[in-house]
Amino acid sequence: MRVLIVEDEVLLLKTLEFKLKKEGYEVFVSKNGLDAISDIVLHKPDFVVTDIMMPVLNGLEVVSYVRNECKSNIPVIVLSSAKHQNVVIQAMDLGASDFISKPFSPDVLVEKIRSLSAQFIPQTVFA
Amino acid sequence: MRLSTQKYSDLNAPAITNNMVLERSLSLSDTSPKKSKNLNQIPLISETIFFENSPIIMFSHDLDGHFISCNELGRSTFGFSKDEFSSKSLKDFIAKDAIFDLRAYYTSINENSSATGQIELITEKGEKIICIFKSTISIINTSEKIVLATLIDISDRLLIEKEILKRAETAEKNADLKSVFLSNLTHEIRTPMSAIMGFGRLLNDTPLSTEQKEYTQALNLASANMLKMVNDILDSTKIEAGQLKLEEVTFDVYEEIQNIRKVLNNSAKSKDIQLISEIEKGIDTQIIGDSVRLNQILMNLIGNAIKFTEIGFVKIEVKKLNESRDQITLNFIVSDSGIGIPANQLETIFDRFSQAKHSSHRKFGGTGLGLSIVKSLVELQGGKINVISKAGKGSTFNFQIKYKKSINTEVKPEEKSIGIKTRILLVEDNILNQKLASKILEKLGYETLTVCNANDAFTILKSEVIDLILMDLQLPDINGREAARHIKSIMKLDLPVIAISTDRPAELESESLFVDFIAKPFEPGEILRKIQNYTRKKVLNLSYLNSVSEGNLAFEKDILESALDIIPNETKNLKDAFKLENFEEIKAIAHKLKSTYTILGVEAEATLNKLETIHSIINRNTENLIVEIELLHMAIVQNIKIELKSKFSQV
Repeated sequence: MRVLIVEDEVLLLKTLEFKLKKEGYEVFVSKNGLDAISDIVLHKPDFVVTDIMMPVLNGLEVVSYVRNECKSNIPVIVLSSAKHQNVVIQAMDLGASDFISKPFSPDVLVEKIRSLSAQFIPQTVFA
Repeated sequence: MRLSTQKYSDLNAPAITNNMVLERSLSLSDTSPKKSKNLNQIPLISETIFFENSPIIMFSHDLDGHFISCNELGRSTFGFSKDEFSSKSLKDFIAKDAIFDLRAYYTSINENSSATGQIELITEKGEKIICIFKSTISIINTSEKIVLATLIDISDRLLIEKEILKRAETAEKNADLKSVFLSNLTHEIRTPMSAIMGFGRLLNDTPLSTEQKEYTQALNLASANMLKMVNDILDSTKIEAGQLKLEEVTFDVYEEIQNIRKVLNNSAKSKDIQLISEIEKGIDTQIIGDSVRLNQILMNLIGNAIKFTEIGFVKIEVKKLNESRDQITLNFIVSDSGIGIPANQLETIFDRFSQAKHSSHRKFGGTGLGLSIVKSLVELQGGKINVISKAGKGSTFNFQIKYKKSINTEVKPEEKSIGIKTRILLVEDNILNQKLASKILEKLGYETLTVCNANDAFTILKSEVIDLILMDLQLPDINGREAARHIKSIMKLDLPVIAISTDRPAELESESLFVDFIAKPFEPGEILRKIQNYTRKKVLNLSYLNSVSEGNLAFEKDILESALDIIPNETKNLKDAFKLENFEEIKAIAHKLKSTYTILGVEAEATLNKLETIHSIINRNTENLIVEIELLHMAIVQNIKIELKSKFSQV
């Protein structure tokens, strides 16, 4: 399964990449929302994990891109600090599948990816 | 008004007689015999003049509504002559679409002998008029009942009322528009202001001649003042529009007051004013609320107090008013020995622009918004503010705010050492060296207490929490070695003591009195390195990283090496953002650093939280936070290097 991680903080990005690779996923990484959009087109991931607070384009715009532009229903998990509940709600309204509050253990992410992809029935594929 | 020339006989007699009787009986109740005698002599004709010339419509009608009499104003309004009375009925004049229950009117008259209300009527010209009326029943000729009615046309008044309401509405709308406009304008001003101030500061740091430096400093001071004014206006419009949102963060009142003291100390010192702060013993200073707004209130009140005091003191006291399981109400008192406020200004002192009306404005300047903002901010937080003052005797401002108690009252010592500055006791008798050392320490972000001899050091150690001692070995009373021994064995304090001396003492190695040695003259890098060695031993906690890596050293090394790039880079970004007063960028970096710190196990969430909630005001407080982060980053880098050396040299 192909997972795209979008996160501007390099250490967290590397840590999540390492963890998911170890779990056997094919992992792609983007450092901001703009890169994410080209990576989505380029790599056609089956799963997106995106931070919300990012420069250039934020996570909300990534969620919106996946849902509205790609018309895709692949699972999208958003990462946010517990303080910014309102943006999490916005992300969920835009169609995010789930969220994780920072700081978090990578095990939690692995668990969520597992359960969400098990429930997932693909409706659309990236063109 | 036209004078009536009609004769008495032209008018309807019974009604008039009745009116007259009524008036007389009223007047007769006046016991003055002379007056009643006079009244008796008034000829009947006068009363008909009253009736005819009344500016109020007066008429009488029978119980079926047929007119019996009507005065001049009534006749002209409804357009009928005296002969037509009996053929006209009340219902002929009631506007067709009017909601008036004629039956209820008669019922009220029959049952209560009177009726009052509002009624829409049609005039002769076909105009609709709105009148208020009062009708009273009267008995004439012992048994016949008639109704005496008065009508006042209030149509014009209602029109004016409507117009006034409309104008009030427009005025309100305009005021709202003005607020929005002001708010936008101040925003627009702030953006270029940030650039002016940022580059002004950068310019000030470049090589300049004394004259040029003077100019840039004047420029910077003026722009800082202007920014404060713009901020005041912005806050004031926000408060007016109800757009000011309060933050809820955990903060320490003690720290907040120390920060304010640091910022205002210089202006107090330059005026020979003693700045005193007192926090009631035993209160938990960790609370949840809006620290930025508290800072703003106190900065304003204390700043004002300093401004209006020439000599003496300015004092801030914090007391506990009451406390419940999860809330605490704090009472803040700011008093001074200044010029005071004249009694006639006390009432308006919290009004907007009140200062501008008085002569004090010319001497002291300001927007005149400060205290009105303070009042609004206190009230917004559910508190109350009041002032007691006597001209020439000083002023006392007093306000209360209820805060939530911090649930996590136990602050871990590691967190505290990062959140609160490391306090260093400097024991040094040479004034020059003392000044130099404390300057360096201050620049490095440490809080320094300075004493000249060992005995004073012991006194300080009894009352203050100290993290580290810098001890000169050549002291006037007891020598440094003896003093260190006293602290360890008699006072039983387990504190790192670093010796300072011009030459390295031979016996230092053999004694465990001193953890290290710093040579005079001081070198800032050495001081920082040594102090950090003994105050922040554990900056990193790699358990998070270890749990993810599960023994993969190459991954751990990669992360740590990346951190060596990222950490200094973020320090630079943060400092740049600060110089350019880019609040959003500072917040974004603080937010991002949280993730970085999570991976590296660095505990500095309190500091980052504060940076994340900085408002539109960049002050010394923010500067201190950034210096704190900078020092922390230096320590992180140093620790990562040690970690890499010891663990990964073989990888």
